[in-house]
Order: sequence, then C-alpha cells, then structure tokens
Amino acid sequence: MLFSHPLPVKTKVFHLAVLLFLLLPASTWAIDLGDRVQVHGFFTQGYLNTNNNKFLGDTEKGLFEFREIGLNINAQLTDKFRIGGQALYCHFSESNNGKISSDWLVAEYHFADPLGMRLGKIKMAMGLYNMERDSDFLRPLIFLPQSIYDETRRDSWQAHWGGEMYGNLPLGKWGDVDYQLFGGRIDYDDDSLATLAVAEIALRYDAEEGENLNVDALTRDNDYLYGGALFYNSSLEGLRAALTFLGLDDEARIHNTVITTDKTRSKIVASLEYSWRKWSLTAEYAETDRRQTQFGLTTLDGTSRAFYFLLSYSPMEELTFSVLYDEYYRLKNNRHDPVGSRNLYPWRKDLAGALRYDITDSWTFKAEWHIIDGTAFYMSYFNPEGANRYWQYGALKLTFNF
Amino acid sequence: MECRAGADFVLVAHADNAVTTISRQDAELIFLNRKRRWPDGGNIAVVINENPKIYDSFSYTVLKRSPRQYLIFRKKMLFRGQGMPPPTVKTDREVVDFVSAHINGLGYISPEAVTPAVKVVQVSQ
Repeated sequence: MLFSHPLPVKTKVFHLAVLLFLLLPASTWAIDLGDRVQVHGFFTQGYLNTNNNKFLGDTEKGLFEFREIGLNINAQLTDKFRIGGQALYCHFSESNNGKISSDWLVAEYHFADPLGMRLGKIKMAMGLYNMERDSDFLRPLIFLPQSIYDETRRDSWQAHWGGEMYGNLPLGKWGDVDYQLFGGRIDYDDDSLATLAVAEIALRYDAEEGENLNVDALTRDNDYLYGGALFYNSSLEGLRAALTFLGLDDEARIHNTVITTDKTRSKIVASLEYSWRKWSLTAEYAETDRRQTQFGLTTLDGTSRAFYFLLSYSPMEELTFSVLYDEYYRLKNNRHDPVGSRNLYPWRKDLAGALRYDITDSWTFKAEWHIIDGTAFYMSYFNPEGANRYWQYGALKLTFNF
Repeated sequence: MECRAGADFVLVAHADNAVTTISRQDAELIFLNRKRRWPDGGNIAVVINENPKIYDSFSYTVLKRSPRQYLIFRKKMLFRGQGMPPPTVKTDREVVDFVSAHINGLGYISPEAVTPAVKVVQVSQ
C-alpha cells in the first residue's frame, strides 16, 4: 500500500453517528424536520472473493474491507432554492481507506420546469447508473458492468465540482425528456485508485531508470470536465433510453514535472432499458476516445469499445435474478495487441449471474458471481507479479437505507 | 380516463386552487418531481398517500409503475442529490390535513374521504 492512514477521529465519530441512527426505532430513521428539512442515509457491508487474480485489493483470501456509509441532509430553503449534501465513508480495500468525503454537495435553484441550475459537487450523469454508483440499494448489481462503470475509475466518474443546468421537456404523446449539461473539475484524492495507479507507474519507472523520483509528492489533477445527458422517458410503459457524453483532461505531476497525461476526448454512452411484466432488459454501448502518455511517450491513442446486456427476471417484486454479459476492448480496432501496455490481455469479457432480494423497503441483500476473460482496468496494478487471463470473482452485500 | 368520485381514488387540491383538471401525463410528471409549478407559478406541494386501499391503484394508473418502483424512484432522486422526496403519509385524513394547510398542495384520497376543506381535481387522458 503506497498511502495508508490510521482511522481518523472524525471517521470514528461518523461511524458512531450512523450506528446511533441504526439503533433508533424504525419510524425515526428517516427524519423530517418539518416539511423543509430531511435527513437520510445508508450503510453497506460486503464481502469480495476472487480466484486466479486479485481484484481491487488483496481479495484471494476473501475481503471484508468492503463497506460504505452515507449520511445526507437536504433543506428546501424556499420554493425554488434547495441546499443539500451527502457525506460518504467508503472503505474499499486499499483505496479510500477510512476517509470521509463529500459525495455530493449541492445548491440548487429551480427557475422553471424546463430549467434549473445546480452548483457545488454534483453527481455525474453517465449512462443509466453512474449517478447511483455510491448507493448500492439503487442499482441491480453489486458491481455495475465494468466495461462502462469501471470500478477503478470510480473517482473519475463519480462527481465533479462545478455547475449543471437541468430540466424536463414534455414531448406530448411521446413522453418527456430530462436533460443535464455540466462542466467543472474532478478533485482526486491521494488514495484514489486513479492516483495510486499512476504512483505505481512512477515507482516502476523510477526503478528502471533510476530517476530518484519523489513519488510521495505525486498529485493527480483534472484540468477540466464537461458533458451532457438526455434521458428519454417514453410514453410506452417500461421503456427508457439515454444518451450521455463527456470529455475530460487529467495530468499527474511530481512537483512541476508532468508524469502522465490522460485526456478523454469523448466518452459516449447509449442506453436502452425495457421492462415487460416480470422481465427487464438493459443494454448500453459506449465508446471512449482518449490519449494517454507516460513520461512523454504516448502509450494509448484510440477508441475503446464497451457494451453489455443485462437480463433480469423478478418472480416477485422483492426478488430479482439477473444474467449479465459484459464486454470491453481497450482499442476497438486492435482488439488483441497490447499496444503501449504491459497488459497482454487488454480486454475484459464478463459472464455473471446475480441475485437481489429486498428483504424490506430498507434492507437489501445481493449476491453475484463473475467469470472473466481478460485483464483490462489496472489488473497489473493489483497483480504486479502478472495477471492471469482467466479468473473469477464473487461478492455478497447487505445494505440498510433510511 | 377520468379519476373522480366512484373511482378508486381522486386527486385533491386546496379548496382555493383555481385548477379543475390536469392531464394524466401532467399528474405523472408532478408526482415524479419533473413538473413542479402550477399554471400561476406556485410551487406544487405534493403529498404521497400510502393508504393500502388506494396506493396500488394510484401508482399503477397514474405513474405506470408499482409502489416499490415508485419508492426506488424517490430514493434515486434523493441519493443522487437531485431533490427532496415529497412527504409520505398513511391515511386519507392526513392528506386532507396537508392539502388544506398548503395553498399549493396536491394529493390523492379515497372518494369517500373528500371533505369541503379540499377540492377534487379531475384527471383527463
């Protein structure tokens, strides 16, 4: 572990506050302080186990360091003006270890139904599920399809500091459209996986070239981020579609020296979801056009391709079985060559089965098993001795929300 | 379709509200927080009635989704930081109290629970 932290006092206080909430009678868990102020939150505890590779940490013997706690407060100060924020404690193996961060922090002004504005730290619209990636009970799987919702990029895609315009546009008999246009910057933590992975690259370069780099001084910064989203709510019952777009530019530096650059010229995600009786089918397709450099050398310049199908069946509303096929290629036109990379298998194909059981409105249990071919998404970071092409992982998760 | 006395539920607004009819699509948008203004610009104050006698009927008829799907929808809005879900009550009586106390209030109750303190709003297709 490159950066480690003892559990800070404020984290212990945060844990204690959430535990106190859990001990309160159920009727008081969600707090309405009059019509205009509400407090809500959640707690998750998971278990992750892998074989033949490590994934997101030291997982081959099973990992319980897989938990999140969130606590939010909203205040509707006037009919048009709202402020709110959510604190998030996320302990996921080596990353985000024992720290509390702001998940979102918003001041919102709603001018009219077609136009509102949010300022602050805003959840980023990307695909159907990115905005709820920190709230396990809102999504169908423990791990969203990694081809689009890559867990190692969670800090990149989670939220941004900046502004957003949003609104709803009725389309008469065709339904309606929600839109969002946003811009700002991403604030990377020193122990985000995105930063740790760059630090690992710097350490390896240092060992090979003897540059004597001060890796402890490494920072990862985002110069800009912008994007937009359209969510189409069809008048045809059960049909939803979305188109989202974003671009961003990152650099990692040691003092004033640029170590790596990572520019996403465009990430486009097209999404379709259709529910019919007890069945639901979700499909998303994405292409990401980006250029990456390491110590002045271009290591990647091209477009990746990602898509998945998720078929779900709910024999009863509380219980859902899902099957996922998820596929990613680092370069869509050169699928099998490790261009500019140490990774010999720069793709990821995932066949998974999953179960979700909503025990009550507040408690959710999930289980899933994934069979993987490929080692895309920083697997060489988690497996420095060499990642295996074929591997598997399973996860369990229990969530309480109020 | 019209939702009025005799159906499973009726929409009710404050007795002084000038609106007499809203479309089914507008009702859906209002309860999904996508339409927040009355025609006069006032902010619509929605209340959700979980009275089991009418909640399923309202949810499937107006929102085209189950009560559980509607609950998850409200939680998504909340935990994404996109808005505050409306207050939730368990009885028609509480809806009448809420709507009569809020000039911009809107809720739904059993037809037999309508009192002079609230006004029935017709829902047109």
